[in-house]
Parts: sequence; structure tokens; C-alpha cells
Amino acid sequence: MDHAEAHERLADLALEPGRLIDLEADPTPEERALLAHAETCSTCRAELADWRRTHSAVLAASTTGGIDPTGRLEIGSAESSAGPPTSLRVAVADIPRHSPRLLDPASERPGARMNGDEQRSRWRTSAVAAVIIVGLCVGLGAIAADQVQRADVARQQVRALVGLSTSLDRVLRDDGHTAIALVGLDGAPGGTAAWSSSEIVIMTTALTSPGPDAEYRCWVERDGQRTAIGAMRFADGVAYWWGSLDRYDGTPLDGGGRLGVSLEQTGQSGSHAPVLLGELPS
Amino acid sequence: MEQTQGRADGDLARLIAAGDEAAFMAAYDDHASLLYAVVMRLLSDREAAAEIIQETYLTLWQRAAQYRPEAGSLRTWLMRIARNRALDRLRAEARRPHLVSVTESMGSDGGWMPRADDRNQAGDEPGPSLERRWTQAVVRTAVAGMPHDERKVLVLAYDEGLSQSQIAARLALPIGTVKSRTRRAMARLRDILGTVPDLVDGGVGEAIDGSR
Repeated sequence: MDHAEAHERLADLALEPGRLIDLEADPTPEERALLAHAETCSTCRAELADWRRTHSAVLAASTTGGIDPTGRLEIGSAESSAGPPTSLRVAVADIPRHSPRLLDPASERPGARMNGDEQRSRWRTSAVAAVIIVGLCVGLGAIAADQVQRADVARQQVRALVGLSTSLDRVLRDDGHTAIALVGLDGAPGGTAAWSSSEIVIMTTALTSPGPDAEYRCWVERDGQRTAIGAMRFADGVAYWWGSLDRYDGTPLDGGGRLGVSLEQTGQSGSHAPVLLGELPS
Repeated sequence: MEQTQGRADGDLARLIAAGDEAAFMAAYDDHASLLYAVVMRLLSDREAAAEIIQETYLTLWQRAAQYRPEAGSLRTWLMRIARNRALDRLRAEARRPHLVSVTESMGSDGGWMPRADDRNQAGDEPGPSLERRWTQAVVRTAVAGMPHDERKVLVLAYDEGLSQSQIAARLALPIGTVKSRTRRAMARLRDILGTVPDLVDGGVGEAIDGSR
């Protein structure tokens, strides 16, 4: 078998799922000739390896739940097909201005020299970063072993609150956003819900974590029917939930009704009285 | 071709290491869409996916000097960083004692119940390994980017186990058309998967190293 023939045969076999993976197991005479050629031809050998790798990955995906990106079981498939948000590009573009680099001296080149202002600015950034890093090291060093876990929780909370504020900021920057007040059982203001065309943020300082067996569930109620849209999370005194509205196509928020939060048993259906409630615009 | 790409990636990384912001954003424009699409498909959480990609580019900005083109393309390098961070996040979520599902649906009785696949996502119940989910996310992203007619033949072949002639019968197409569509689809898959590290083997579940 010559090279062109082997190349053609490989392309044919690549059409059959997994066929190239176990070619050696029970080869036809033609396949045996292909394998013999691949032994002596590095190009075909590499091509065979490439196809095997591709087939293996696709088979793994297929047996994990299918390769169909529109599959019923896949959560957020519509969101997955969307590109990265514009805000991500803005955030990444900001990295050079706010993040000190771990410079490799050898990588500094004459063409990349900074002017005086840039040097001073970068020096200040580096100095501030160094102070923070030293402070963190000293602080972390002083933390006893039994406090490490608490520090970890604190870091998670900070991260959650940063995510919350980022999401809220994005919603409020949307010209078409809506915000409503949520009131407690006593009628006093108890929280806020704000949403844009694509995401919603609900937050309050009036609730505390109910423990693992219960949760504060967020819902939309219309014509006496409640549709759950999420459940509150907790971080440092703030109860919040935010998420995409794309997956709640059947539950538009501008069609009237009520948005509420109630305490329910985790993992069970329920419709207890709301602890926070707001009127949705018609 | 690969050598040319390696040189281009190496030059780009050197510029980034020297503080060139335009080069940094060029790396974003070249690779962020695919990175985001795969991570988003894995996590099903836009906010989390955006955070992972931001962290990935922060790593690029801080450690571009450590990139070695001979070990693989810049896309492969970035993909590995994003993968590790995304899987770390899933592992951390699975370790949490109480994890609230944010995607829920009405039960048959009108009540509200978490979906079974959400619980698997959270790691509360046995499900596919994280490495398999990563591989599935990559493959599904690649398949999602294909023209519909190519995607269709691939799904019928792999998810429904149909032969080329069965697909031709199902779609009422000449066998030659089905073969040429499958050939194009597989070539696309091969191109994309070739740049992704640490994919799982379909037979034994071992990670396949992505460096070529």
C-alpha cells in the first residue's frame, strides 16, 4: 500500500466511530496493509494517532451523555452557544492596569521600555502589591491551623460578594433594567430585586442562613401558581441569588404577578407564606 | 504550519511577557471565544465561566514568560489553565456541605423539585467523572460550531449508533453525501480537539495528553 492509498483508507475508516482505535484487533487484509505502511511512514502514523485521539474523545463524550449540543439533558445549551460577554473583554483588558506581572528579567526587551510615568505607575502598583502580599503572608502566618478553614470560608464569601456586585452592576448598567423593592411580613422594606433582559439579582440583609435542611426559595407567582426561579445563598450577612433569565423563557418577569421568597424544605416542593414579597410590573 | 504557529505563539507570548497590552488582547481575541464556550458548557454558569476566563488571562499576563511553544500551542496552554481552574471549581462545589441548586423546575404535582441532572452537576450523586465532563464539553462545543447538516450525521453516528447507510436511509440522502458530510465533520473535530489538552479516552477513561 502506498502513501496516497493509505491516506485515503485512513480517511474512510475515520468515518466509522471507533474503528481506528482497535484496528489491530481484527484487521482485514487491507487494514493489515495500512498498519504495515503506518509502521514505516511517520506522516501516516501521526495521522492515525490523531484520528485515534479524536475518536476516543468523541466516544467518551458519546458514552457520557451524548455529543449533541442541543441535547435535552444539557443545562444551559442556549447560553453555551453564546459568545463571551462584552464585559469579559473589558475586564480582561483591565488586567494589565491592575495586576502586577511576575516579570522574567530576560523577557524585558529594549522595544518594550516604559516611559517615566509608566515606570513610576508600575512601581507604585508593584509596591502596593508587595505590601499586600507581605501583609497577607504575615497575617496568614499568624493564623492558627484551626483558623485556616475559616479563612477559606472568608475567601469564598469575598469571592461570592464580588460576583454578586459584578452581576448587580451589569444589571443596573442595562438601560432596560427594572428594580423593585421587596417587603417583609411587617410591610417594611426588606430587599431588592433587579433584572435586565438576561439576568436577575435578588438581595437582602433581612434573612439568615436556615441550615442544610431548609432554604429560602425565590419564585414568581402568577394566577396562584408559583414557579421557582432559584434559592438564596448567604455570604457575610447578605442573602442573595442571581442567575440567568434565559432558562426561564416561560416565566417573563414583566407580565404582572408577584416575586417572592419563602422558607421551604430543601429538595421538596412547597408553598409556604412569603417572607419577602414584591409586585411585578404588568 | 505547526512550526509557523509555534513561532507566532512564541513571539506573542514574548511580547506579552514584555508588557505589550495589544499582544495580550490579540491573545484574547484569538482564543477567548473557544475557551469561554467550553468552560460555559462545562459549568452552565455564565458568571463562573467569565471568572474562569478572566483568571486564565490573568495567568497569561503574569506568567507569559513561562510559555514554551515547543510544548504545544498557546491555545493548548490556555486551555489547560482554564480546564484546571474549571475542574477545581467543580471539585470545590462538590465538597461544600450544602449546595443550593439554582436551576429548578416544577414537579409533576405542580410542586418544585430539583432536577436530577442538577444534583449530578453539583456532585451530590455519582455521575460522570469531571475529566469526562470536560471532554464532553469540548466535543459538544466543537459539534455546536458545525453546520447543521454535518452535526446531524455525526450525532446519528455517535449518539444513535447508525451506520453510514442507515444514516443515508434515515435522512433520505445519497450515501455519498452522508460520507462527505461525515468526513468534513470529523476533520473539523480533529482540528479542534487537536488543540485541547487532557481529553479522556473513550474506552478506558484515561487522560490523553494534549501535547503534540
